[in-house]
Amino acid sequence: MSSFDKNVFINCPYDDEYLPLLKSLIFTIKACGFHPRIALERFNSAEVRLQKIKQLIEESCYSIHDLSRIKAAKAGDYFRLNMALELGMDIGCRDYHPNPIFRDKKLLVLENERFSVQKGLSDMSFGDCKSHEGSEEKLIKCVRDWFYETGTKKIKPASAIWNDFNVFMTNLYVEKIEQGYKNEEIDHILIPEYIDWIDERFNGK
Amino acid sequence: MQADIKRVHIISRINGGWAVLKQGASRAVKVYPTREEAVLGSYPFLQLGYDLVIHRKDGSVEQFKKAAETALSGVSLDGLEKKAATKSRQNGTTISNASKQK
Repeated sequence: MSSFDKNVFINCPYDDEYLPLLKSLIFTIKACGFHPRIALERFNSAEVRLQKIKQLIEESCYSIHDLSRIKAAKAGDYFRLNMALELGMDIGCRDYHPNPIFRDKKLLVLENERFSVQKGLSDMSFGDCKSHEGSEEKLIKCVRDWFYETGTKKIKPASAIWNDFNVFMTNLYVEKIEQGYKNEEIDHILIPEYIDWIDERFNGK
Repeated sequence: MQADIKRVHIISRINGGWAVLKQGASRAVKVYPTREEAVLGSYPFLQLGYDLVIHRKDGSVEQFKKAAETALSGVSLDGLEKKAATKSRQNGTTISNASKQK
C-alpha cells in the first residue's frame, strides 16, 4: 500500500461519458509521481460504499474532486450530489479530524466552465477551482499545474504528459489486441485493470 | 518509452489543430489545422516504414496501421482517407500517389 503523502483520492462520476477523462486523470497522477485512489479500485459487494470512501479520504493527503458533472443534464433530472457529498466529507476530515496530520490535506476542485460550481455550491468560495471544459488535454494541464503549485517541482510540462498519454494509450491498445481484446473492451477497460497496467508501465515492467 | 519502435502519432493539440508526433520525440514534427491534413502530413514517415496511429481527441486509439499493412494496402484510412484525399486534391497533391509509391 502506498503512503499517505503520495495518495490522491479521486472523487468523480463513474459513467461511460466520463471514462476518457478519468483515464487521463489517473495517468497524470501517476506521471506526476503520485498514486491514484478511487472507490472503483476494488469491488466487494459486502463493503459499504460510504465506509470505503471514508477510508480512501483518510488514506490520501491529496484529493481531486471533479464537480464538472453535478449539473442535471436535462429538465427533470436531479442534481448529482455524490461528488458534492464526498467533497464535504474530505473538507470535514481536513478541518475536524482529531489527527492534525489531516490539516495539510490538499484539495483540487475541477469544474467544467469557470465559476460553474459556485452556482450550485454558493456557500463555498471556489476561486481556485480549475476548469477543464470537458477536454482530456486541458484536464491533464489542470492537474499537472496543481501538483506543481502544491510543491511538486520536478514534473514534466503538461504537453509532454499529453504526448506520453497518447503513446501509453497506443501501447495499451497494441498489447490488449494481441491478447485478444476487442476494441470495445479496450475502450471500456476496467479501472482496476487500467491502474494495474499503468503501475506496470511506471514501475518498468 | 521504447526508443526502437517506429511509430508516428496523430494527436490533438490543446490550442487547436492536430500534430504529427514521432514516438520518442519531445516535439511534434508539425501541427496541422485538421486531423485529415495531419494524416496526409504523416505520409513521408509511412514510406520510411513507420506504423501510423490516429488518435481520437481524448487520446485513445481510433486507428492503428502497421507499416506492413500500409505498404500492402496502399494506406486505407477509412473515412479519413477520403477526406484527406479531397483536401489534397484541392491543394494540388494526391494521397493515392503517395500510396502507390510504396
